[in-house]
Amino acid sequence: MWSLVLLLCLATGAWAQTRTIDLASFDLVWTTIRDTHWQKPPAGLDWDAMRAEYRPRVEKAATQTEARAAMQEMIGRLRQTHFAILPGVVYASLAEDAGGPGSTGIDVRVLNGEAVVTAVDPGSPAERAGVRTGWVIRAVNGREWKPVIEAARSAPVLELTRSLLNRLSGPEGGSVDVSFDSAGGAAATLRLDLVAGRGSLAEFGNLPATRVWYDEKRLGETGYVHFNVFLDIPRLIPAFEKTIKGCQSCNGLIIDLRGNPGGIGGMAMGMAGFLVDQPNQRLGSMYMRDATLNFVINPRPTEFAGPVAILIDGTSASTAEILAGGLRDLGRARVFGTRSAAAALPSVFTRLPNGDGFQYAVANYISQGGQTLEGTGVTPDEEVQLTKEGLLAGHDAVVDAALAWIGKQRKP
Amino acid sequence: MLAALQLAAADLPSGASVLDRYVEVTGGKQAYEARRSEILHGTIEYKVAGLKGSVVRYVRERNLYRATIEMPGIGAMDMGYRNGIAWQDSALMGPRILTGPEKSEALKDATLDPEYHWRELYSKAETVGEDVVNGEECYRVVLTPIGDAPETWFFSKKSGLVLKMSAVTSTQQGDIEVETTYTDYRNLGGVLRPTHEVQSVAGQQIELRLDAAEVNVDIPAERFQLPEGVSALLAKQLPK
Repeated sequence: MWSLVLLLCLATGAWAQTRTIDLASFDLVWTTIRDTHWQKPPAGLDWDAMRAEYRPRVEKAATQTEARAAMQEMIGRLRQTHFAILPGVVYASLAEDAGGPGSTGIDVRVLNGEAVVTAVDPGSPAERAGVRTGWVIRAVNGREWKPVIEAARSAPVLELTRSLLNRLSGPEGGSVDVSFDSAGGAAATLRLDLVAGRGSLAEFGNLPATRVWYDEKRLGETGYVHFNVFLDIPRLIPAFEKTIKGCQSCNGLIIDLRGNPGGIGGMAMGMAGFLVDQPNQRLGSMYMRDATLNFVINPRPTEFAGPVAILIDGTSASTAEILAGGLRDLGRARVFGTRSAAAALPSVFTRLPNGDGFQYAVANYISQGGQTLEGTGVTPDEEVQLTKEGLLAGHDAVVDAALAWIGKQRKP
Repeated sequence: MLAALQLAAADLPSGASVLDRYVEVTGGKQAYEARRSEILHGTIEYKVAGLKGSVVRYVRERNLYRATIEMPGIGAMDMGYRNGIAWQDSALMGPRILTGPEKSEALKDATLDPEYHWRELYSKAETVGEDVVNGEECYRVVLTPIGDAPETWFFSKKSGLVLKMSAVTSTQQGDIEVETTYTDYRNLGGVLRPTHEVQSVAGQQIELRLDAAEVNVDIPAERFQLPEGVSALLAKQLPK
C-alpha cells in the first residue's frame, strides 16, 4: 500500500513538475513576443488579454501536448509566419538518429491537383527504383493522396508541399510503399527505402540539425546552382564563390531557389555580394521595434557580371525571398517560376523550459522596392508553371524559360 | 530652478577627473605604461539563439589590431586595423574596408587600453549627471570620440569603475543603439578589467566573457597582415 502512495506522489510530482515547466514555457513565449515583436502591441492584439485567456488553459492542460496546443493557438492568433513551437521530440529524434529523417529522394509539387514528382535525388532509393520526374503519386502506404490534396486546396503551397514530403519520409532504415502513375498512366507501387537525406548535417544554434546540399552544373554556356537551405556558411558560401570564379565566362547564371525555405538571413547579403559591383546597395531593410537594419551588400573581389536568373515557387521562403526580391528590385536578376511563399519574417529559434523549440519573429522585412514580403511574397517577372508533360519529357519549363531569356541577353 | 541646476552641475567632478580615477583604480599609470601588447581570449554567446563561439583579440602598440570570432555554423569573422586601414572579413559578408565612424570605432579597438589613452581618442569628456546602475550610484559621463557619435559612460561613484556604456553605433546595416554592462572586474594582464560584458542590441543580448590575457608577448607582424580578400578588395578599389 505504501508503495502505491509513493507512486501516486511521484506521479503527482511529475505532473506538477510538467505543469510548472509548461507554465514557465508559456510565460517565456508570452513575454518574448510582448518584448520583441516589432509592433507594439504585437499584431495589434490585446496581449494582456491573450495571457488572461491562454495561461489558465496551459495551467489546466493534462499533458504537454495540450499545453503546447494552447500556446500554438495563442501565437497562431498573430496570423504571422515564423512563430512556431517545435515539439521537443523533434530534437530528441534527431539526436538519437544522427542521420536525420529517412528520405526516398523524391521532391514533389502539386500541379493541377496532382502530386507530381519534380525531382529525384541522384543515387537515392527512388532513382535506383526507376522513379522519373513527371510521375504522379497516388498513394503512400495505401493512403490515397487525392483527398489530402483536395482538402488542402486553399492551404499555402509551402504547407501542403511540406505535408506531402513528410508523408514520404520516416525513420531511417524503414521504407514506404508509394503508388505511382508512371509514363503513359501505367500504375505501379514501389517499396522505397528510407535513407539518410541528401547532403551533410549542419547545426546552427538552437535550430534542429539540418541536411544541407549544394549542386552546381553547366547547362550549355550557363551556370546553374541549386541548394536546399541557407545554412552552413563555412561550406555554402565558399562553394558559391567557387561557382562564381569558375563561371566568369558563362553567358548567365541560374540560381534555383525552388524548395528553399530560407535560413540565415545574412547569407542573402553574402551571396548577393558575388553578383554586384557597386557598394552600398541594399536588398531591403529589417524593421525591429527599436532599430532598423539594412541588408547592405558588400561587393566581393570577384563578382559575376552576366545576367542572373532566379527560380522560385511557393516553397521558396524567407531568405530565399529576401535574395530573389532584393536582387530583382535592384535590377540585378530576373525572377522566373511561381509566386514565393510570402513567409519572410526574420526570426530567432530558442528552447523553452519544457524542451520544445520556440521560433519567434523579431522584425518585419521590406524589400528594396518597398514591398513587404510577408503575406505578399515575390511575384516572378515571368510566371512559368511546371507541367507533368514537360517533366515526363525531361524538361523543366522554369529552367527552360530562364535559359531562353539568358540566351537573348548580351554577353558581359 | 536654473540656478539649482547650475549648482548641481558645478558639484559634479569633471569628465577628465572621472576618467583619470578609472585609470588609477584599475592599475594606475605605471601599470598601463608597462603594457606593450596583449592577446585576449574569451567566449561570445548569443544565448537566446543557442550560439556560442570563441573570441581572440591581438593588439600591439600602436594601432596594430586583429580579432577573430569563431562560431559553429558561421565560421570565422575577422576584423583588424593596420597602417591606417580598418577592415572586416568573413565568409558570410566578405571583405570590407571600413571608413567614417566605423573606422574611428576600429581605431579605438586597435588602441591598447583606450581608456588610458582617452585624450587621443576623444575630443571631449563631460560629466552630465548622476544615475543608478544595478543599485550603484554613478556619474554619467559623455565622451565624444573623434569622428564618431558621443558615448555615455556610467562610472561607479564608489569604486570608480565603468558599469555601463550606451551609444549609437554606426554599422554598415545602420545606426544601432547599443547598451553594454560591465561586471566581474578581475586583474587581467596587469590591469583591472571587466571580464563579463552584456551587449543589448535591439532587444537581443550578446554576452562576452574574457578568460585569459597574455601581456607583452611577442606578436609577430604577420598576425596583422591583411587577409587575401581584403588585399584583393583594396587592389580592386585602386584607380586603374
